[in-house]
Amino acid sequence: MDTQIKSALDAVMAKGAKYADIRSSDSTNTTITQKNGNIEDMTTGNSFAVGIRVLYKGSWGFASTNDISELSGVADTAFRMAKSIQRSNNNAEIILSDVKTIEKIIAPNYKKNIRDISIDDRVGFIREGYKTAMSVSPEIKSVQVSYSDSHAKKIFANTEGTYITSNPQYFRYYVFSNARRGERIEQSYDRCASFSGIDELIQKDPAKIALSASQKALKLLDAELPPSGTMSAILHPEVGGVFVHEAVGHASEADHALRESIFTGKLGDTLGNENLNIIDDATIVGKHGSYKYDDEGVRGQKTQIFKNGVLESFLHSRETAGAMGVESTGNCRAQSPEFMPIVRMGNTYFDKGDMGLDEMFEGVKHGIYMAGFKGGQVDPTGGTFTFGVEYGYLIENGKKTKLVKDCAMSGHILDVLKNINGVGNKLHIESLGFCGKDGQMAPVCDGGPYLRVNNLLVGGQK
Amino acid sequence: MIEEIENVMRKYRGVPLEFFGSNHKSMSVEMKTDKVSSSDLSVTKGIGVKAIVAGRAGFSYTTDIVHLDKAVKIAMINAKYSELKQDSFPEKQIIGAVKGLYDSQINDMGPEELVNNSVKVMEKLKEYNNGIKVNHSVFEAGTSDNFLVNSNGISYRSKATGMSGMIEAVYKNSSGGVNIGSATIKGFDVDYMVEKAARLAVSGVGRKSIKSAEQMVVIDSDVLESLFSNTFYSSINADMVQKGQSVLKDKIGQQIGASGLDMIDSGRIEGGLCSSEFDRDGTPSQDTSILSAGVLKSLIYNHVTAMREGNKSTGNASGGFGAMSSISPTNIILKYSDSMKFDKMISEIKDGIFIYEAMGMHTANHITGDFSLSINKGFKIVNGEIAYPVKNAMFAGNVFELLKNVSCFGDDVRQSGHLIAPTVVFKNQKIVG
Repeated sequence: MDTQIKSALDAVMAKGAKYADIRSSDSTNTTITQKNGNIEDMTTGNSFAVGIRVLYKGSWGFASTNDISELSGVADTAFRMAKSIQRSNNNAEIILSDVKTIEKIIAPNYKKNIRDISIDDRVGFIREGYKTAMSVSPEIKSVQVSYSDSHAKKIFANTEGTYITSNPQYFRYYVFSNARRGERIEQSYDRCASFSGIDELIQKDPAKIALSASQKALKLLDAELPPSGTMSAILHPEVGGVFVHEAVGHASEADHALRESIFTGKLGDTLGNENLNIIDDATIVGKHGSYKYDDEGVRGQKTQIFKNGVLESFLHSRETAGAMGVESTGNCRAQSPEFMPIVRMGNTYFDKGDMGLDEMFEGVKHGIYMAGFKGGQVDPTGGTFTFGVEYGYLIENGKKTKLVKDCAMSGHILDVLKNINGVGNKLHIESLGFCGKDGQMAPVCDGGPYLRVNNLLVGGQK
Repeated sequence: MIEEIENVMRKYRGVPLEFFGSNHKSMSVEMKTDKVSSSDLSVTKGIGVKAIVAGRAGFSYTTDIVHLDKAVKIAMINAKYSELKQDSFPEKQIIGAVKGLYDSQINDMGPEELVNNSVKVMEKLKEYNNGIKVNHSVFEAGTSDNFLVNSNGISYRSKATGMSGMIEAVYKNSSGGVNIGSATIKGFDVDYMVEKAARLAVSGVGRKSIKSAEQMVVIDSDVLESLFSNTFYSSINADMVQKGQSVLKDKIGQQIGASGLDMIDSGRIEGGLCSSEFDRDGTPSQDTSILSAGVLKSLIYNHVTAMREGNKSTGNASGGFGAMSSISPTNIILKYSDSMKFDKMISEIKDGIFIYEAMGMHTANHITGDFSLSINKGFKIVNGEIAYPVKNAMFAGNVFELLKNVSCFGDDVRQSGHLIAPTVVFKNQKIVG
């Protein structure tokens, strides 16, 4: 395959391309889903994909296929695609920021090889989760457990001489518990996922993950719908992580900033308080958004987006860095070789401050404490963002009172950044999930300390 | 390909097998800040194999046809671990043709035509208002060539095309986003896209805060489709109901919506975005009444979930080659007894909000139907007129309550995703400001 890849790259350069890269992945995937005690899905699959990206003058052409024998034809297609749009791009230039070329085989970072895990072992993880989740209470009426893993051989090669081979492994384990009391049904979940090998699941313990899912589902049976209005909120680190991801992360992606985003032209501006410190770091060991090299062969790194309230840096690909005259921050990622890589976050977090949790609560006369990750969304152009949580508590005179559920908050980025008035003193970067952008999913992790935010709009149903 | 499958079926005679093959070609052109920036041609091919061994089904897939025999063996091994009860695959039936699902012009399209389309849309937006920029657009043309073969003698094939467009137009600090899709070029309504994106961008400048209140809420069909996709469609999914993950369990025959509300899942509409001749299991597509006068009539089923209840599948099996079939609506037609001209409908609203875009749909509770959304593109309606764009407002409620509180349907019917519906007015909804 190495020879095929190299000759495909040589061929497009000979035609006049400025740059090209090829990514391939050959992977084996196993998915096992159990619903109400029965293994209802037992799937094993093998998939190969290769994608080639060609830069011709100021245009990108991209093509992908599942068939390696078509590689040279696909490379030609990518070149033709780039050429066909060149005349319509107003002679725009694309400059890629410089990056050191490397030839490297990335060593695996797991102790136990997923290939050595038997189907019985995998089924065992599921049965253990199911048993524990159901045993929590007779009100837990149904449980769904899913386990999937994959191992792959991946190659990245470009026309500058970089050639990276890796053999990543991945698993994810989800437990969904449904509690029912009369007509009322509530669902909650917990999960574990990692690129660092199956040891992580054994260590986190399927039974504990299942216990957490069922306990949360039960708790929700007692929760009320939340109130609405503008109030102070204390965000659990998991929720604070989503807040950072949505309110700051996306707008700081340079592809957004180069178009119209709320941060366009604001680099170096003070947009928040001294305590506003936000970081994206792909190098933290073992996190869901960690990686050694991005999908342009640039090393993953730590980037300070906000420092003491000042917008210090955007997150970059080589193209966006080239357009702004800086170096890539190694944030260009693709869901698979079938997609063009785009600017993405890795592990994004709010850096810790110095406030204790008690002090944080004491400062709230009437507000809401929010926990339980559900996700969020942002409009980087207009600056409105939102995030939803599974449950929370009302805060009255510094104390947690009534339990509430299914709550979302909304705000405008530039307003909210000024309204963070409490930053906790302990860092937790544990909120793992998948971030969707331009039709691609990327594994990410978010986190931070406990945060206190004033004047957030809470969209309660009550 | 079919020949290889027949060989494998002969080899494993006696083992019920199902093969679903897919060959999808997709071309797209992307524009950023008024400039065409990239184009993409991707081909995805693969085949999924389901095997039944001792009344249990196992599954495998591969992107390499050379490994077909191995894929069958793995599916048979997986069946031994599986507890998914399945005795048989669907029987062969006559599959009626559905028109308007394939357009050779889309299949034969080159990147130049998509580039021209992107540029044309940009120019039309600037004709509307010279201050508008295309922040981002993606136009895509694709062809899917699928086949389904099983050991009951089914051997169906379908070819379908699709064209889609996404645009984000920006005027000052206000954006207008529109998505459109169509199976044929004829149905690809660029004018609708341009008018709506331009209007939303330009009229979105000067947003004002509002106060919390119960009021009439006018919902664009895109927003309603997105809300249903994250809540209601899973509630009528037979698998979710059988697993106790739907509040519609045991609700067949009961009133769950307004008494004038009808909902039909219709898989055979000419040119429908979600039409097909047969579903992922090989069941012919059909019409299924979901709501009639607000009464829940049926859930949607695939082959396996229907067999569990001793029913017939409603032809709602969906999915690609990489997984066993799941359940999804086809085209969902929503109708109401009381409808009027769009302009008249708006003119009769004294106090309300028109929602064109809402964020946070995926955080809605897909079981209980509770939602809390951020209104990203909304306009206050005062005395029958769209008065001004709103800022920092949320829409909180419950999808089942929404179905009971339908006030009126407009006449601007179009398809958005699964949903075929006009703009809808709901009464007594909570807006938080």
